Amino acid sequence: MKKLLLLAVSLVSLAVLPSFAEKVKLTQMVSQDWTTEADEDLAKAFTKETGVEIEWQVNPSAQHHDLLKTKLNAGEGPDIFWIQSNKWTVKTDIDAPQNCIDFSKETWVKTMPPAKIESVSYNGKVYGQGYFVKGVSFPIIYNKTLFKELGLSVPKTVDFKKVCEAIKTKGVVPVYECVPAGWHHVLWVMQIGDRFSELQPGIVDKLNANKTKLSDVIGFKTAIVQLQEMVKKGYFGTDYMDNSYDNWASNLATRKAAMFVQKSGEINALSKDYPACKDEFGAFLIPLVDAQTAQADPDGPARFGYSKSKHQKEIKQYFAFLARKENIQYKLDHTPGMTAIDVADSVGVEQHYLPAEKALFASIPKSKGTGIIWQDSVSYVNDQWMDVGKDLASMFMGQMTPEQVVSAIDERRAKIAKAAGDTAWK
Amino acid sequence: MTRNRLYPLYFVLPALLLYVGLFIVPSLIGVGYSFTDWNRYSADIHFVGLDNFRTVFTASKHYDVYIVNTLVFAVVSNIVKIVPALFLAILLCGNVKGKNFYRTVLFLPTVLSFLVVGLIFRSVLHPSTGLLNGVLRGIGLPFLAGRWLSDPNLVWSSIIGVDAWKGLGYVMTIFIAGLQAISQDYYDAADIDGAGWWSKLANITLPMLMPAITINVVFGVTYGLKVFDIIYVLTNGGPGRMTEVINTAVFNEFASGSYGLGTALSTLLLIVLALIGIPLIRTMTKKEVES
Repeated sequence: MKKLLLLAVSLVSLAVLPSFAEKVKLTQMVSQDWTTEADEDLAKAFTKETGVEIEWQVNPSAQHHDLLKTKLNAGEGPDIFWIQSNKWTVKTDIDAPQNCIDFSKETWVKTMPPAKIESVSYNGKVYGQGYFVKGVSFPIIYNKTLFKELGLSVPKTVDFKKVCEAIKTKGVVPVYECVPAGWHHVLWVMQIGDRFSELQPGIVDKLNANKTKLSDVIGFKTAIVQLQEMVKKGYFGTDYMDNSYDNWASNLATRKAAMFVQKSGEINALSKDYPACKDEFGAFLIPLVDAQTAQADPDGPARFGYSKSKHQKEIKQYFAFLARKENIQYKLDHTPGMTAIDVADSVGVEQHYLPAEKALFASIPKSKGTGIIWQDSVSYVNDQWMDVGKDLASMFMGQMTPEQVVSAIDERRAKIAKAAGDTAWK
Repeated sequence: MTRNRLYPLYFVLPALLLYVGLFIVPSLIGVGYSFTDWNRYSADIHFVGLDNFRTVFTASKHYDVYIVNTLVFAVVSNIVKIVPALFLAILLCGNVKGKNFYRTVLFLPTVLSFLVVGLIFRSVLHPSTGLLNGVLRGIGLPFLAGRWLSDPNLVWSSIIGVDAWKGLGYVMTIFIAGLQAISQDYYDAADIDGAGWWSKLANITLPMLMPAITINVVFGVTYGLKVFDIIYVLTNGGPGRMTEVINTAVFNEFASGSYGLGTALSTLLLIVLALIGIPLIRTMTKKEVES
């Protein structure tokens, strides 16, 4: 009897063990602000369909790039990882040819628009997948109702200061800012890059050919000086060096602050998260240096597969799953801050632009057109985003001057370019 | 009898091999790499002499300030931990009711991870919503409320304070172990001679406690010079770059792919550690012998 029981247990064990052994878990490392519940839902749906589990490793945004790069440098990268991708960072941030799976032959690649494909490719090979927000990149979200009450109109020039002053006198923080996040306050300068191109046509090519420096770019230093002025005049309030990015919506919804640089689709999220808030919100372009050109961002966060992973087949399976039309539509429909997603038209996704976004598009003079954000057009800017953030924070603290901030950016560009073997810097 | 007490010298070989293979050799390789332009963007490594060290002292990043920050942290954080820990240890070795409870409570922060401590204190020290300022305002002391992690005048005090809160229990425990090893006879004899509390502290406790003081000072200084975690989780080197130290700079350089420069900074740290650590251990050990 004992022998029979032992035999039965052994047979059951043999039957069960392979299923345990086959269970695959993919680790996915991401910065805290880049994914939503929709991404987690899709990961769960993938697990349900394939049995392959997805384990999320969510990093604080100020530390994600450093942690990821350190892991990759140590040869211990996660199976899947995200970066703020563009055609340069694919090489300089993650050394894609060395660390990433080549997806060039995958059929899902064509679901991304050409500019997005370029931002996740290097030397003609596609290494990443990204479906991010479509529209004007990071305008200023503002409390339309409060503006009306104070008799303020949307500023299009440095009149912005007058608007901030009027809001400040009412005891409301004009602009919510969160320096500890490390990346957000850099947007003020980099998201108006197309204005610098407007002031000095051909400047991007000259910068990339190392024929000029950022310190010689008309308006670049002015933007930093104006940003410093905003801090000095108290337009960011008093807690900007301690504020958390996550609290932007609560501050706007409760009228503690009136404006925030944010993706325009987040107006939708704000309304859903704070139903008690009856204020209406709109969006306008960052008006530093009188910038009024809309800028598109073909970059944004994108995911990559680790070439040294033992589970490359499963990674490819997961990426193909996410690229299905119904899953892209699910991400769009279930991400509160996303009203339009940047995918190829052929996918046939139904976008949901808000009235505020349509009004923003309508407010942009057609003669201005739409430019590309500087971190995607000027080399070695995105690579040092967090360093620029630290420099700007030092400037806010009075430890650096605007001139020193610009020089430091130039110095780092030269350093990265030389290390990358860029012929323009030889 | 002698033969029974002595062990052959080759018994040390396995440990020595591990130490040389896992510490000495990698350290020497690291020192070697600090003279190269090794980086993530290029497969070729070239000898660049002292270029990386020149960069450390001349670049706009002010690494020299980070070195000073590290030294100041090592000294101040030690004083802030060792002095209170010594008095707490003396107090909790006396006839205090519930002393085991207090010992446990004071030791508890030591077992928490730096990440947890960082998250807790970032919340506690927030100027508007943090517990500390809330309490200060609540008890009628709003003028004491501050921007603990973003005011350049307060940020170092905050870091050192949190570090002391976390590390005090560990230092205290070592002192308690040292105090328990001092025979009561010395104190009884001193009582007969009419010695007071301070006299007993200066002439019995402190000299007899020198081994524990040596351990705490040496551990504390090396910890202070190698500090990384507490700063990374509390301020990430900010506001701006105000609280950067050598190891946060090493981390940043490695993360940005400048391995040569990163190893140069590590080498500098090794030199600073040796320059401070070796004389410190010699002096302290000498004092132990004298006392």
